[in-house]
Amino acid sequence: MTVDLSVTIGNLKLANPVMPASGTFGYGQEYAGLIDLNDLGAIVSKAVSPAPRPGNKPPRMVELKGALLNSIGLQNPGIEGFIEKKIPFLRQFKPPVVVNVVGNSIEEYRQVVEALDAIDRVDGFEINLSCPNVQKGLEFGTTVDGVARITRELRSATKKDLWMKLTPTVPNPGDLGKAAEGEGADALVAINTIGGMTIDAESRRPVLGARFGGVSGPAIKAVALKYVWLLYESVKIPIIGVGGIFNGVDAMEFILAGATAIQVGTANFVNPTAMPDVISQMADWLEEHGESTLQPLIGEAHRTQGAALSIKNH
Amino acid sequence: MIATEHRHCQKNARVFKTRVESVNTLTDDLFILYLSGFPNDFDPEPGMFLHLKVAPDEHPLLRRPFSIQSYNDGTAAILIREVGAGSRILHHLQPGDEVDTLGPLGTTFPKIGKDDSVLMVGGGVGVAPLIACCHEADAGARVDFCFGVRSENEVQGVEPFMGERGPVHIHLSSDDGSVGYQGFCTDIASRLLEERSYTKIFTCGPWVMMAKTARLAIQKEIPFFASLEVQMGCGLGACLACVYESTEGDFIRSCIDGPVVDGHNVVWERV
Repeated sequence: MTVDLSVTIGNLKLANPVMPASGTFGYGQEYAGLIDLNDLGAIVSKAVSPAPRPGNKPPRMVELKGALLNSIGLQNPGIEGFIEKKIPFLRQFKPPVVVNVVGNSIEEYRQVVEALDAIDRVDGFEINLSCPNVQKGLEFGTTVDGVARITRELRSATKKDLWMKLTPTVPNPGDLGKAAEGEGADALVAINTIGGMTIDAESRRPVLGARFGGVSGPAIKAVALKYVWLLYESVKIPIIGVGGIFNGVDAMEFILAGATAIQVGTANFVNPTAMPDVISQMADWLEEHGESTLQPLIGEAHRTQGAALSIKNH
Repeated sequence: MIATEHRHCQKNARVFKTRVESVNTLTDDLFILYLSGFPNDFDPEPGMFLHLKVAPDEHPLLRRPFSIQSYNDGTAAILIREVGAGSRILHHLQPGDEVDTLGPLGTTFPKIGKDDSVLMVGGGVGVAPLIACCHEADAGARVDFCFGVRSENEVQGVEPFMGERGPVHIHLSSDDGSVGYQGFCTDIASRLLEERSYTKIFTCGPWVMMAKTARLAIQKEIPFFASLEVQMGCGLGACLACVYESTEGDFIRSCIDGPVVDGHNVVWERV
């Protein structure tokens, strides 16, 4: 039996539901020698801001138990650099390209979306409402009004697909999701990293140059799953799940929680072939469980009763 | 290729399984890991590194980068100091164990030609890539290698160069005086710079040692190449975690713009 992993997110048809989490895959070039980018469901770029951003002072990343803490600071070449240096490279590949957008004001987000709306190779935008490394991002992202306002503003700036990437540090994800959906977002992406820090007791200092960073990796998977679950109960638009996905079973847990697609982040650093691996492991999972497509499995855990019968994968 | 020109991908890098041949413990915390089973066309140049996944699961999470000290007959020697969970696991590997390996990665030191006179300053595990350079040095070249260790039992990899003939001259120094000069290898480097002229300076080791070497290179206006030691994320240039500040105001990624960089482009003074 062959399985069909294709999914639809808004206007985009994806051959499979696996894509990189923004910031863990550059603009694709760095991984192109190790994996075939055409195998991916979509290519999500590193953040693009209106002007180039140098990023934060090092140290920028530290390993924790089961997690990473990073404060890269959205280092990127800006709109012009992205168009000149990255778009020509991305033209070689088939999967949809979704550009992650960041700014310090709604106006800055709008600038990026308007500038890239005219580029045919850009198929959609992922609006970073939630990077813990940008103070303003969190401000837009943590209130229902803020999410509604920025979604409305950007919806009027583009007809291309608009994904809103939500912050995990709110008590009411469902309300934020509804706000984005109500203003015309095509999909929700959840979750971004969770704000955190670490201190070196010996030198009595924060370890990161920027003091605070975002926590990612296996340790946040449970947080992300609950968030996706709550969004699924609140919205009808597709949810793209992200947080600690390292293998096909992790990915299936997100599908069962209500995600239509998933993003692989930290795992790309550990295993450069993580995404093609996850794709083939998802196909294996479907085959082993007698399923031929993903669609009936999306949100399936909401429709089953009671607790799990076994916990063998945990 | 040397830094400042920002690279887009790690040419020839691949993921494969290597096999532990042996683990040679030198001191309580210093050991050499011998790995075999590389692809047939694996051909690392001096300065390049391997990014090793130390455990099959996600604990510890990230790969660990290590310079290749030598690659002979399909076996790579990797000099490792046990400093944390990852290096501790590697120290306890057994012959036959498989290691998920990504490489070869990074930039290389310049070739040492017959007209070159190179001063090398290496300390701790930082001697590894410099030893790799010594093996490739032209027979007509002159290399003075200031080789710093904590104590005598850390001296390794220099036996082929200890005779009088050949281009490489080893100048040992130790913290405890058990071998060579008691003190910093940079003291010897400083003295040699007064006695001879050099076409290039290479360094790898602790930051303070490299920063001292940088001051000497800047003062004497000698081309200067440093291999940066740092914790890395992906090793491929994508995550932008392993950066150093450059004198041009941007950041150098030590995994792909380095680890070997033009030392004159690095901001060595730290607040």
